[in-house]
Amino acid sequence: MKPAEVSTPSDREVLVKRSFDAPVNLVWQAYTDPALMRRWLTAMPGWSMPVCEMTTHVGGKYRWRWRNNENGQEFGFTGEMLEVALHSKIAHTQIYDPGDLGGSMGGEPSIVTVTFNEANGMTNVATSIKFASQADRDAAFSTGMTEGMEMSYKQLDGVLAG
Amino acid sequence: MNRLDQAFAALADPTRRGILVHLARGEASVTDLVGHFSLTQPTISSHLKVLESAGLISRSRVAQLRPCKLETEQLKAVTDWLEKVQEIWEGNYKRLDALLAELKQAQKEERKK
Repeated sequence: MKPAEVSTPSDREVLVKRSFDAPVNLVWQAYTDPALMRRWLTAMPGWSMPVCEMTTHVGGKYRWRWRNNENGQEFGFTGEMLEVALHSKIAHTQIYDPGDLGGSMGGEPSIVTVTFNEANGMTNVATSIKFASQADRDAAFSTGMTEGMEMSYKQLDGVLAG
Repeated sequence: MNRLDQAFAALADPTRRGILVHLARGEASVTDLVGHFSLTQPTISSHLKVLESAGLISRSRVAQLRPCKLETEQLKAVTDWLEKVQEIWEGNYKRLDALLAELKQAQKEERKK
């Protein structure tokens, strides 16, 4: 598959696009059934997803939590479903839960919108993460996301060196 | 804001992105840029200030026209960050590819029954 494309269409938005070789009903299943979701949304190498709870209907809540396999550190996201359109769109709020990993992604929840679009048996998925303000986006850039990444890359280096 | 954040904020503006594209072809003075973009000198200058404080360009202190120059290192920091984000998403998506292949197979077998 063509690798995911990441862009920053505005000063408070990150957009990720990817196509999948499957019809939309299966992709939808993988995005809405928590038992399936936790098998692929493991965030980073060396992490697992011990908590993946979600109810996919408007007003439904979700709770995702990741754990570092090596040192047990945890972080997560929680939020509420704003819009659910079968096989086409999921929009939800997203609040960073620093757990014992720390960091901040700003005070206001960000809005995540995932759209699904099937063409010729393939499904295009576009994920937009819109931060409440530029300040929140900056907070996400400089703390949680980057720190988490740095850490996992260091671990990966360790694994490769060993 | 750290410098990387400043760079992202600076890059969010289409005129500033245009200025960087222009500078990728070579150094230019404020006058050159005013002519090229048909904007006023104060507008161009304020954009240059943002780009300079984000570390995306530098301006000569020696020459009188103070030509602007692209600072590729800071641009690289931005693209490196995007690459890291890309790698994390792609890691998840590769697992999703495998899961979808499994689901497709299961659906096929279900239909055979």
